[in-house]
Formats: sequence, C-alpha cells, structure tokens
Amino acid sequence: MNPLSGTAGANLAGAPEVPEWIRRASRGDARAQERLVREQWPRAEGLLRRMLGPRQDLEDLLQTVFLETFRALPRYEGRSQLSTFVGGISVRVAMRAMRTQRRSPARAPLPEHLAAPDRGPEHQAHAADLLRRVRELLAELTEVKRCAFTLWALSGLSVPEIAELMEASVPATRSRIFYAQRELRALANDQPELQDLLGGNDGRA
Amino acid sequence: MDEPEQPLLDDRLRGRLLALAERAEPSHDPLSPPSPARERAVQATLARLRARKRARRAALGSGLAVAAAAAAWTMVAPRPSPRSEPHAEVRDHTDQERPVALVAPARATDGCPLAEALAMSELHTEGDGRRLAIGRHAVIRLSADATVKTRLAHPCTAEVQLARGRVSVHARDLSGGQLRIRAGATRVLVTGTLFAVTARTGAVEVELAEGKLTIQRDEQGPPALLVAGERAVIANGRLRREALSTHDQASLLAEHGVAVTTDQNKADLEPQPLHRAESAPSGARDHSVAQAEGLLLRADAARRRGDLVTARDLYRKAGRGKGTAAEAAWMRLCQLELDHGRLDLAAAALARYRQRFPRGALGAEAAWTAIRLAQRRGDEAQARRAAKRLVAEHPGVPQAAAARQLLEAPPP
Repeated sequence: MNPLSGTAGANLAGAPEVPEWIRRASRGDARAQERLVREQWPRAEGLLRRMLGPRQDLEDLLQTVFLETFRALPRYEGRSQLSTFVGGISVRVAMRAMRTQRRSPARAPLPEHLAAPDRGPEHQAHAADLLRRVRELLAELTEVKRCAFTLWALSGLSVPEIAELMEASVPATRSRIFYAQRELRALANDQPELQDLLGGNDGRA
Repeated sequence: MDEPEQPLLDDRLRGRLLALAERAEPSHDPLSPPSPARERAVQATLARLRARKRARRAALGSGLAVAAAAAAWTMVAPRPSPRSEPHAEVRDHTDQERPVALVAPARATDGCPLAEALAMSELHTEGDGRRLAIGRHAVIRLSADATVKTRLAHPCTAEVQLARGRVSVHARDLSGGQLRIRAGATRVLVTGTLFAVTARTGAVEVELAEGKLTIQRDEQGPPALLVAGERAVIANGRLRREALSTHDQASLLAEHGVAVTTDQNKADLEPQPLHRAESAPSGARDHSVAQAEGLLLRADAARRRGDLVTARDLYRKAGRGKGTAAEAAWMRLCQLELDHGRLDLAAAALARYRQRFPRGALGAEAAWTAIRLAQRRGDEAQARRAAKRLVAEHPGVPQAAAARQLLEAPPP
C-alpha cells in the first residue's frame, strides 16, 4: 500500500483537500469504496486484533468499522490522514466492544511447568497464554485506560498518535497510559510470572 | 515556574509487551498477499455496503419502496456464480451490476413483511460459517461451504436456493408468508419450524428437529410431510425417511440456541456407548464431523466470553461427534476444568476422551494433560510415570520434549 494514499493534499489557500477518489467513495462509488476498504482493512484489523485479542466476531466488528466509516465519510475534511480517520472509528468500535465484553473471572497463576523455555514448539502457545492473561487483567481497567494502554503497549503507537485516535489531549493520553500501567502492575501482584513481565517501578520523571 | 511533572511511561515494559504480542499474534506482513479469509471478509463487507445502499434507496423510493427492495433481491434467472467463495456467492444477490428485474409486482409485497425483511437481511460471519438473519422471521445458518441465493417468490414466499453445503433454519413467525428452501429440484416448504438441509452431489438430506414441513421432490412429485424427529434423504428420485437420533435433534436445537430439555441434558452427560457414531451411514458421519466442528467453535466462543456453563455443555456435545474436533472438544473441556481448579472434572473429561478415542489423533496431547493433572494434584510420582509413558509412546512429538525435561529435573 502506498503510505501516502489517502493523505489529504492542500490547495493554494493552504486548506486541506480531500482526494477525489475519497469524495467518490463518500458519494457511493463502488470502486472507490472498494479501494478504501482494501487499503484500510489491514490497519483496522491490526488495531482491533491487538486491542481486543482473538475474537470470533472480529469480522463483524470490522464490517461495523467500515459501515461507520462510510457513514461518517461526508464529514471527512482531509485535515488528517485517512488512516487516522478510519483508525479513530476502529478505536471507538473497539471501545464499544470492550464495554459489552463480559469480564471473565481472574484465573489462577500459571502452573510452573508452563513457564516455557525460550525456544521450542510450545514457545508461541506459551506467549499466547501469557498475552491472554495480560488481556484478562486489562479487562479490569476502564475502557479509555485499557484502550490507550493497549494501543501504546501492544500496537506500538506513539502517545500523540493515540491522542489523535482517541480524540484526547496528549497529556491526558499519557496520564491514562500511566495509570493503566500502574493498575496493571497492582492487578498482577498475585501472579509471579506476570509480575516479571510487567515489573518495574512507577514514578515521575 | 516549574515544568509540570510528566507521568513516567515504562518503555521497557512496552518493549516486553510488544515482543510478547508479536510472538503470540504475529502481525500480518503487509507485503504478503491477503489471506483467503481476509478476502472473504472484505467481500462480505462490500456486499453489506451495497445491500445498505440498495435498502436505503428502496426506502427513499415511491410507494413501491418495499417492492423495489424485494425485487432488488430477485434475479431473473438464477445461475451459478463463477466464483466459489461463499461470501462472493451471497454478494451476487445484492450486486447492482447484476441483472435484476421487478418480477415481484407491488401487490405481491403489500402486507408482506417477509419481503421487506428479506431485502434488509444481513449476513454475519460466525466461526467458519455464516448467519443470515431475515428480520425476526428466520435465522439461517450456513456452513462454510454453503452456496446459496435468495429470492422473493410470488406470493410472499422467501426462497433460499441451496446449491451445495448445509443450511440450518430456525423459522419463527413468518407473518403469513412462506419460507422455502430449494436444493436442486427438491423444495422444502416451511411454516414455522427448526430444521437443516444438506445438499450433496446427487442427494439432499433434510433433518427436522421441531415443527413440520412439506417436501416436494420435484415439480410434479407429490408433497411429503415431515414431522419433528424425522430425517428425509432424497436421492435417485426417491425419498427415504428415517428417525433422527435424539443427539442430532438436540444438536440442531442447540445450534440455534434453543434449550433442550433437562432430561436431554442429563442424557448428554451419561457415558455414551463406545463408537456409537461409527455404525452410522457415511452421510451421517460427515454430518457428525461438521456438527462437532460447529459446536467446538461455539464452545470456544462461549469460553472466551466467560460463559463457562454453556462452554462446558457445548464441549460435551461436540465431544460426542466425530473427527479431530470431537477429540479437541474433550481436551479443551479438560483444559477448562484444569484452569478452574476442578481437577475431578478435568480427570473425568480426560477419561471420557480416552474411552471415546483410545487411539485418537490427540493422544500425545492427552498424555501431556495427564501429566499436568497429576502435577496439579501434587502427585509428582504419577506425573513422572505419565511422562515416561508419553516419551515411550510418542517419542517424536513436542510434548515428549517437555516430558523429558520433567524427567531430567531432580525429583522434589
């Protein structure tokens, strides 16, 4: 995918300009809509997958993302990249899904024999199990904190990027991540292996 | 004035979690071609977009709005799609570039809520299969390989054309309309019931769990009435009836979330005769495999959303089926019980697995689970014995490597 595709240009007056193909997609042009879906699908899928973990209804959620994108597209003014616009909608859909997701009870600590070696066939399964446990702890946080932290720690986005996606200020986003980090460590208190993973000292710079 | 304090974000923690996420769920390489699953999902999304647009246009139309929406779903001459992708097949119904005709006159859809619901119906992905909801009137679950088309027939009849695969239907209130499943020349007319139709080369199978329906083998053939608990197999121009097993009936009901009676639930938990399904005809065996796969997916979903009661029930049901999915169901049930410290129930699930699949494909996994179970019980001697057995019986499997590590470790 061209990284600049969907990026808004600017007219001579300096105002952002929405690319013509996005306008066509907004008007219902089938080809332009297909282009938008194909270009933005991987990023939206990546964001949802990392934020929510493996889910059976992931495809339904992705469909919702794009249906909402096309509904909102007439309001797209080209001030941000199209990927940010779709990403913001993905985040909102993910947060709604988090709200409806029933929290599963906390599980017992991992049996020691499952502490996998660094390599070997069980390595990936062990990582998946560990990640599942981290997500179970994350489910205890509020949606905004969970969302900000997941985008930062599991999707690798920068704080300003997350702020833009979540339509929040950078300091507020930083604060959400910080408190999520602290609460997560507290929740992992009785799980030694997760403590190792999440360990560290919270403090102020 | 001092700078405000900045909360410290731990970049090492972030690095560890990013690495863990990459290891557990590797990102899709943007340079690699999209997977067939993704392509299907993209196609389904585009189809849904088109359906929405069509429905919106229909709603904005004149007094013929409902008729137009319904007619948009009506193809002049149903023809096989050039593509084999299931999503693409369904998309054909709503593709505006395809020829459509207003064969349903306005009066046909007047007072026919089924027509409107059919036009507005949406396709959802559900595990490996899909689910088509026709408003509140009916829910149709499609197997992964199912190829279907829908059309509105006169008068007020929603017709689902099944080219291949399996559909299971829960028809509720049809509001005076009719629902018809058509597989080749065979037509199944429904007035409110729960059933499944499977189309194979040269044969159509109909299973009825609830209500009643009429089957017409071909245009001229006399209609045959099927009642709950019956299966009909139509092949070589003949219709053969047989009884539907309680298990198949319960599975069909469970597929649509319809509660089975307490007695049935109790019966489900009773030990089943060994290899009960092996004596069934080959068609039933295939069905049993597909059913186990479907139930397993639903059980996993229930487990993920924390509904453990349903998950346990579905794992047990899936475990009574055939194939690797049935084996996996017992192993996952065992894992579930282990995770929740219900060691006796875990042992029972493991015993059921071994009774049901003495030479199963997941034998090594079962052996490894036995080791874990012994360890959780604090019985190290038993764990070591089980580890020795695993190494001896399955020397080349990954679990054997872990078992060897256990044996090499000094006894506690």
